[in-house]
Amino acid sequence: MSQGEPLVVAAGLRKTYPIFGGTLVKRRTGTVHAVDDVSFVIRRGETLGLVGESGCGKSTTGRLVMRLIEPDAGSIRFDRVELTTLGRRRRNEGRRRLQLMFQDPSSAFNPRMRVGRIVSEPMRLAGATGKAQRDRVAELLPLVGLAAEQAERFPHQFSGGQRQRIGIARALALRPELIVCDEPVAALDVSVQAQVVNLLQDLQDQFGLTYLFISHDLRVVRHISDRVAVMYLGRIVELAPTAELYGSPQHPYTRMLLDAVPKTRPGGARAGSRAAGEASLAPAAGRQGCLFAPRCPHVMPRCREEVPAFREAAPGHVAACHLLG
Amino acid sequence: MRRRLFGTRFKVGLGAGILLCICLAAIFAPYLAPYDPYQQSLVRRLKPPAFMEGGSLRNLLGTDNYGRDLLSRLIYGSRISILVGLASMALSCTIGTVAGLFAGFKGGRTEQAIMRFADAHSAFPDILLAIIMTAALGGSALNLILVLGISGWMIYARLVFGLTRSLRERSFVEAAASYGGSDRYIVFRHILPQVVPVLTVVATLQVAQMILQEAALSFLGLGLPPPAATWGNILAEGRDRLFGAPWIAHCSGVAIILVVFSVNMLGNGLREALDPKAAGAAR
Amino acid sequence: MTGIAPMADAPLLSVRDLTVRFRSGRGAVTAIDRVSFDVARGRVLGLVGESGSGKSVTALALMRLLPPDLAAVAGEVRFDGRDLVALPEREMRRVRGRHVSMIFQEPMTSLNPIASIGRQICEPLRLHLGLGRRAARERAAELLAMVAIPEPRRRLDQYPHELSGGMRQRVVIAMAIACEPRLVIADEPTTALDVTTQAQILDLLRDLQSRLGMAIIMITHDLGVVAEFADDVQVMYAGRGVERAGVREVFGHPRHPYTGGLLRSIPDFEADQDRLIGIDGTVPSLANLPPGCAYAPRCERAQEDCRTVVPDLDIVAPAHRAACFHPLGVAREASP
Repeated sequence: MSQGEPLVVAAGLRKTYPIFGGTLVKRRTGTVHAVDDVSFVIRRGETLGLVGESGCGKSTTGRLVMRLIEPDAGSIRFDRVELTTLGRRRRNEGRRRLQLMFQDPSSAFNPRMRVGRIVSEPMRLAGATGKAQRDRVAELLPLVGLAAEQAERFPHQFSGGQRQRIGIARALALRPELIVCDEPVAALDVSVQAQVVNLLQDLQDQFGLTYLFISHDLRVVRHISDRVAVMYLGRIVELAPTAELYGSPQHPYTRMLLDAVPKTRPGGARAGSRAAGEASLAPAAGRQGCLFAPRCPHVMPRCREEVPAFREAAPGHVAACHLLG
Repeated sequence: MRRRLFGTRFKVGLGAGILLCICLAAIFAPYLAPYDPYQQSLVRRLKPPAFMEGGSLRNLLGTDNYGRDLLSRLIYGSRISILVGLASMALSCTIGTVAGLFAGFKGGRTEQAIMRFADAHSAFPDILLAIIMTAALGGSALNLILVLGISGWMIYARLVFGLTRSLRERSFVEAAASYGGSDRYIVFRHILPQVVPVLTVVATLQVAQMILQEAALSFLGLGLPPPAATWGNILAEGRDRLFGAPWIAHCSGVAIILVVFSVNMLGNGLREALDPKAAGAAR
Repeated sequence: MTGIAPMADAPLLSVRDLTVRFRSGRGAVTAIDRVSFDVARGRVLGLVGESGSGKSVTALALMRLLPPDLAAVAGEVRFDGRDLVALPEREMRRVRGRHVSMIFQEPMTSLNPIASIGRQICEPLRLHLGLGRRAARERAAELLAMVAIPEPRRRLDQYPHELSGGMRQRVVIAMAIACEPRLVIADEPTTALDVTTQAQILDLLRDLQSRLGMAIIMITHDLGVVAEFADDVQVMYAGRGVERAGVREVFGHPRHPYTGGLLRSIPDFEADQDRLIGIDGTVPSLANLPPGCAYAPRCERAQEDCRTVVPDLDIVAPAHRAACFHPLGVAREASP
């Protein structure tokens, strides 16, 4: 399905946060580059996986796409409409076409609301009538594998997997085109995780949905994504079709990441480079050159001075590494 | 799970029961009180209560220095106490909640301004504020309410601020924003309903606090000026005769204790009843 | 490596019929039900299960860290010949941290935020080994070096918040191995960490284990971690042990349908799959377990007997136990 037209075009996204320090008087001591010059395209009907370790900026990127936070620079076009300059009202209208799904199914819902109201809340905000809301809830709950009668219950009466289904139903309420899934299965048990992943795939087939699938779980991402982008400290370091990325990773960080995933076949000695060091967002670390250079087994003097540009390793497979130069 | 001395229902029932009686007494004071609380009688000065030696059934709780019937004064005094307690609580709760919601939701400078002002205000002695306001405006029930209401908002502000701050980080708030909920919508639909149960508990307990404060201010001569029948005034008058006629101070003291006790019972009971973890064994 | 442990050697830890009941407002809940397993000296037992399987309760029960007014513990935990369940609290305190120590999931909460790293590592050293201030500090620096923390001496004076997540977990490990215990219980030690950090911590634990010869109980929900790290595996479900064997056996020839289901649920890293095969339904509530096998309602092999009788963890193949009447990959002559 990855040959669809571009639905989301993000270019040069940048988001920084100030860091405050000082013992007595708070003052700005530095800047965190949460997202730093990030560009990508999501095509209609595909799933773009966004992977990386905590603090790499993948969730921030998802929220920038949703326009839940304002970028410092860069542009996001959704179906050829520039979102960053849109006024508030137009943006809220546009938001119906983009929905967000959350990681933690226990805090994603107002604990004092019944499931029916939770699922229909986006519709109510969009001005739907009470009847339309009830009808849609009765349609959505069976769609995600829950009984329509369960609309009267409260979220705490459901298991984690069922709650994530409620989250999916809510995300679907306004018939969006794109769903940003932020770690949707991270809080679930493996056996339940598979059910939710399958459900997401079924719904994609049924409604032609497009997903931005944010996750640190490289297995799930491999399974669900058409293409995968790897982020490191706020920048995308590699982007490729899934089979390409997992089959012949080009960036040393991608390789380290893939090697670090424990294999479920015991006895298979882990091959290749072992992970070393940890990513640090510390402002003291300079941001010139390649950010992975301090941990990279193949580091060259050039890496510390010059930010590597994206180079194409294969059609549609780009990586930002001087080794490819 | 630890066993409690009293059940939740018992606490709420007892507290609410006593309070209801006192409220009814306050409302129907003219029908219940045997005498006019201001009617003096020099012949019947300092009569002890009926159950003490020398007392009579004509004045069940005895009389004070001016021969006024203490039971009647207590019943009328409950009007002031209850009114001041409830109204000042409502005032400080409203101010504090609005301030806390604003500070917690907006953050940044709004938060700094509101919360630092709350800190500064906490450092300012209540009594001093009361003296200034009484001196400027004179003692009246309305002024008492204003003084107590204004001096109590900081608790609510801090509480609501803390809750709002943590709720704002929860995913469901972000979710509401993600499908287009305005700030107002989020505050009123998602944040306030979570804050109200906690507020209820604190507010109930604060009513007791306010009644005590009213008594204290009246006792110090900063509340309603005598001869007004308030519990604090009765207590103040009783102080002069603590040895000769101890029942004067005692009767209003017991009334205050009773109200504070029942309100505390109710507050604690409500806290248990509204705690989703205690109530929601539904997990 | 399965079954190579010397037969004559009694296991270091031998757990028999360990049962924990929690008293709650509405009667008692059995959190773990007659769990048995052995840990041989110097070997790694992986204790796997999903949420509610009772794996963490097992760890806390072994350490006797469950609040006695809430939890009733029965059964036998024989550690080096002594029954830990029956040990007086005073003596248990001497065992904890000295002979058996624990690594928790969240390094930030298992470290005291207001005490320096040095003080926290020195504590068990002075308490259990009676080292003096200076000697303890020396040893603490050595320990930090052992867990591969750069500049160990400088780190001693730092506080937990000054370290990264991976470094903090290294400090926790240093504390756990401080007295060279014979058994370390690691409860989800890498769950809160990033995958590259997890790989480093697992490498470190393996390295320390072979150097110090300690046994490890690795409690985790991550089958990948178990496959890489454990020698033997015990799979838990709803408070009961459902399968126990060597790691290759369990992953190569799972016998219990639940283990098989779990393994299938993980997206394959090497081959493409069209669809994941999960396990239908959800983990049952411990307060409301079905009669018979707890997994029966979700099991596609369940028969009438599974719904009425709780199967024992019996031998189904050489050195392989499974609590199942109709195990996978075994000739089905027994079933009607």
